[in-house]
Amino acid sequence: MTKVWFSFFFALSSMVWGTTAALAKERLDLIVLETLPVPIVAESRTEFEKELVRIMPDYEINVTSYNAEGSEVRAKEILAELALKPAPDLIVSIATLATRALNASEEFIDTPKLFMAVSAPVEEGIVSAIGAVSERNMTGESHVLDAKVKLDMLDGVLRASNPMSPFTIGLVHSTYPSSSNLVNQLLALNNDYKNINLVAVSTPYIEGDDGLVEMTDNIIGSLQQKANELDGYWLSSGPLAEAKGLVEKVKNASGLLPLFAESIATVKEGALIGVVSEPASIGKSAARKAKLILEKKSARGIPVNKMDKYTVAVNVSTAIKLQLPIPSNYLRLSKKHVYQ
Amino acid sequence: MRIKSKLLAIYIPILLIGMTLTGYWAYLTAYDSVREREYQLLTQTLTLNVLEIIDERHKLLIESGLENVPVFRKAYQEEVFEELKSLQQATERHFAISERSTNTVIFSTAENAFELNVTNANKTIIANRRVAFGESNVNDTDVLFACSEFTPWNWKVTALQPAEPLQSSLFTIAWLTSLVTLFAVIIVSLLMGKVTQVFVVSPIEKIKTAASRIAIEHKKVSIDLQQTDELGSLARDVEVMSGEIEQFVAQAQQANRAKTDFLAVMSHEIRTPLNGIQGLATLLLDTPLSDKQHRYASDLKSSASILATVINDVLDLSKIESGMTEVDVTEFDLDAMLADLITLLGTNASANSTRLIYKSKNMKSVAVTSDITKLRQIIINLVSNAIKFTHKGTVSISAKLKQPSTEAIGDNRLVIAVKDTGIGIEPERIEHIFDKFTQSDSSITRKYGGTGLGLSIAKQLAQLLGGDIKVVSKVGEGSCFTVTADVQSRCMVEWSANSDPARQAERASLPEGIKVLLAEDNAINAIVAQALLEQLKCDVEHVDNGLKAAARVEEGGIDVVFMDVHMPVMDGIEATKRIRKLEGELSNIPVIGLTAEAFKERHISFKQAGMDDIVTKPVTVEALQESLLKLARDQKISNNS
Repeated sequence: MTKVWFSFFFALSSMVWGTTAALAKERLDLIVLETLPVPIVAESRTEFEKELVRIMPDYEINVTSYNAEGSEVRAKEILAELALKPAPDLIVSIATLATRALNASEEFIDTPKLFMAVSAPVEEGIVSAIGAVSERNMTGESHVLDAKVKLDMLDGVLRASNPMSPFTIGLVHSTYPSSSNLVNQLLALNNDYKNINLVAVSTPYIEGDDGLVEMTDNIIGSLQQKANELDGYWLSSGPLAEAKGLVEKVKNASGLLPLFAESIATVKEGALIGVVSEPASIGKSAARKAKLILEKKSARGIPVNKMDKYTVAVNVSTAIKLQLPIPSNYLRLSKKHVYQ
Repeated sequence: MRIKSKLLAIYIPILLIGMTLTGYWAYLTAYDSVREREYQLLTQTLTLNVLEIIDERHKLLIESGLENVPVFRKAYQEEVFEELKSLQQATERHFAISERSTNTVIFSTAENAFELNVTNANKTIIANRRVAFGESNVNDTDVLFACSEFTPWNWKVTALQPAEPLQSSLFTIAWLTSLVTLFAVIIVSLLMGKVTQVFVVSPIEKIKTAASRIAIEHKKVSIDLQQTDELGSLARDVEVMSGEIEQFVAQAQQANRAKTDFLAVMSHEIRTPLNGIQGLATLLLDTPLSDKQHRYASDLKSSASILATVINDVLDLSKIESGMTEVDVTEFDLDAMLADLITLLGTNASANSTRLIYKSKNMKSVAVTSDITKLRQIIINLVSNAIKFTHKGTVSISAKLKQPSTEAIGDNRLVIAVKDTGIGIEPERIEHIFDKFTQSDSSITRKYGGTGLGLSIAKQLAQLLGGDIKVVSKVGEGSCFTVTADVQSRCMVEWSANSDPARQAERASLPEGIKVLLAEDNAINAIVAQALLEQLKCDVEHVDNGLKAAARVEEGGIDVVFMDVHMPVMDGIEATKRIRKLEGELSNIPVIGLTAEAFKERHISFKQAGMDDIVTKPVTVEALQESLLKLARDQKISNNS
């Protein structure tokens, strides 16, 4: 009898276990490495995770995030530690410094890698050109609009007011890689625009939240000094674009208003016009690429591109204040991002 | 004009008018359509492009709360101007914006200022906008315009375009319409021509050909026409008709042959006793008679002569009407012949106290080729008539050839006018003068005699010679009969009297004592003929049938045989054939037929049987002499004695 009962329970246990095993989702382990503690990074990561779960419902997505706190060195340390553990299915790097560290890592050469919120992947040496594939098993998208397009947009706005002389615009940036790369591109193209005269206003990149405050102060100081020479400033992408209260502080200190910004928040605060990829778009687009990789498409075979969706925002109060009418086509493009 | 040409001459103008009207209607329709399309495009450009450009910016300003911000409003209005400049380059239309209240021009793509006359402009509503449009003249150029208002900005917006492309387009339409119309007329004409040819003309031509065959051959025809329409029915009717014609013609020919045979028999039967009467009367007059007897004998001869004339006229007419008369052309001296006739008829004229004058033109030394016998018969008839109806007057005969003759023989036209100063013919009778058995007045027959056949015969003879006889006359002043005939003529440089056979015959002389064998079964005719031959110094021997004649010739000593055709035992034809079969010179003895048969074809058959000449009864001494002279001239007879 005991043998019978034993056999019965054994069969029942086997059946339950088999059913459970059959119903269990496949587990996918992802590591997210981020460096810059700014909203664009945080929001992009959040949207990425949410979208990935949504588009891969048959998988159990296990995301482990690591924050390098704005430091490339810290990012490398994290990667060294991770190398000692079992390799994940995908490593996602957010922002330029983390991506630079991941791309350079030899330990994860066979692990598929995906980057997002990197403005200049070519300049970072990830690929030789936009549209090319990486030999280091990494792919991703640049979230920044081409420098020439940005200049064209600003030129269109300025030209509408029929200026007698070019606008002298301070090109505010830090030495953060993506920021300095973009500024270099803009300066290289400046001579093609007769209504724009770009003047570099720079501060060294300082890691951490304290560094952001210090960089802000440095910029305010620089702009204050050049206030008489400038008609406004251009807030480039990078850590400074995410600095809280920068626009207000500059306005108070120098009376200058931003003419172009690469974040919606800055336009809200008073930038005349801005064009940017929204974090939600960055995260969703990256999630679609991650799905391809997780479904066993090699990251080596996915070319690195620019994003195809951007958001234009205008601030009509600034436009009125500066007597710079925003062309109707930009105003039309802005749709829900017309701020006062 | 052929029926096909006639039909096309009718069809083509009708088609041309019809197609032209259709083409004109099509042109007007196209004209309206093109104008409407141009206005539609212009008004749509104004409302759906220009006003939309303006409205879009205005709405954007409203939605953005910038409508009342001058810098934005001005900038967006400038944008409108820039877009209109681009639109002007793209559409080649001009646009202008003016202040609605003051009419001040704010913007214009046209180089020069313009002022539109919109008094007669049409009005419409497109996309909830009121639009005025029409045609105006701006700076001496016709333009199409459309204008509307944009109330929020107090603007009056105008779009205009030159009318020249529209006019050019309309000109092209007109040209194409004309070309297509002309092309259509040509094609339709060709098609109608072909259809008419196939369904109308060709069947008619087949029926016409059949009708021509019927007219010529009088035979039943079969027309290859399978149509079941009116023409097919006509063809069948013609076929039936042709069958009936063939039948009727056969009957008519049979009747004609019967008539001819009857006339031949009657001619023979009448002429034979008439020959006796005439001959005996002639012989009687040569005997010693009292004056009373001589007068009776003379009247007897005249009566026989008149009877002979009547018979000859009837026979002539019968021959002409039955188509048995043939034209026998010879070359002769017409001028001399007419002169001789005048001389001959001069005796009758003198008896009527009438002067006879003859004159000719283009006829001296000219040889004319025609039927001398018929010409002579015509002239004798007309001149005799003229003399008969002219008492103590003048009858003038003028003959001419229309064209002067050359040495080469050529076609010519003979015109002979016989003009008298006689009693003339009443106008109402003149049109019947050539009818058979008709004289101008029945009293004429009683007064002047005659059968009334002479002029009818003369006219028909003239028509046989390719001419005609016309008459003009005035009662109491006289008549003029003009004869025409187709002849051939040539100029004879060395024309001599020897070349005229008639004269030759006249000049030849008969030897005396010619041994003549007369074969004649009718005793009276034999007596007459013998007596007449003896007057010609002939030595006459008589037999009463052909068998005896042939036997007598075989015996020898005969110079010439006068052989009656119809004789008992052996007729003249068979006897002649026997003579021709004799050996040696005997077979060449000339044989002259004596017959009361007047038809020429019978004479030909007699000659084919071996006879050398034919003398028609009633025989006269002149006819016998002429025949003998002809043989003498041909050296067929000689005096054996």
